[in-house]
Amino acid sequence: MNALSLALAAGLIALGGGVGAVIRALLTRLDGRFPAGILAANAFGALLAGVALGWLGTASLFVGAALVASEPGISLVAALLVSALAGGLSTFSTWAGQTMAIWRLESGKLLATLNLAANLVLPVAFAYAGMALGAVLHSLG
Amino acid sequence: MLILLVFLGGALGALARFGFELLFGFWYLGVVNLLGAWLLGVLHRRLTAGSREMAFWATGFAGSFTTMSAISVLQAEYPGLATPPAVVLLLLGLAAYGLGLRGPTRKRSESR
Repeated sequence: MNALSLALAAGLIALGGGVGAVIRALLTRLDGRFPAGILAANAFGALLAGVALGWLGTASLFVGAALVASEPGISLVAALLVSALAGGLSTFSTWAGQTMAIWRLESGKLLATLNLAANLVLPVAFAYAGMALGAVLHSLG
Repeated sequence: MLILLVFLGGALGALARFGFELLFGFWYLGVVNLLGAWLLGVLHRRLTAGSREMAFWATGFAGSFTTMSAISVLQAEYPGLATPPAVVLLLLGLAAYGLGLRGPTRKRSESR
């Protein structure tokens, strides 16, 4: 990647990260006793990350190589933006904070364990769906 | 106003995560998530809920600096290989957050 495309990538990452964080903050309004908002943010984040990977036509461990090899074009820009949005939308730290807070509640152990399991399972299903969708976009060119 | 701070913190957090990815390669996933979870514990201990600093650093920066989606796609791509370390990482994340909560709880006074 040359200097210009690195600057473009940084701009897309900042934009996607900022917008993702705002959508995530709005989703936390769904939180009740169970933090459904962050689970939704993590599920849709995984969906978008799957779309970006499928679109780039690469595995997540080789995104850097795919970016260097790809023709710089509209689909590369779009895939980067979707990937950045996924990173900003999904969160690990807030999940940890909420899970610990629930764990310390009276009879919160079950709900905290459920929040651990749900965040390990539901986002993965959404990631599969996203990868399938991204593969369709990839085949369209 | 707070939502703008969430946006700016989120943009900065995403750039920082990108930097760590360039620096650590694949292992950035563990580094940013444990560091970010610990940082959130520190922020929850020291900052006032609903403050501007909390919006920028906790919701924006720490939220965006850490990532669950990258873990989820790894699990989707390599279910057998990625799931055990994902479980361990999430449990370590809880411990990292708990570690950040420990210490003096001097809340900074808010200037609104």
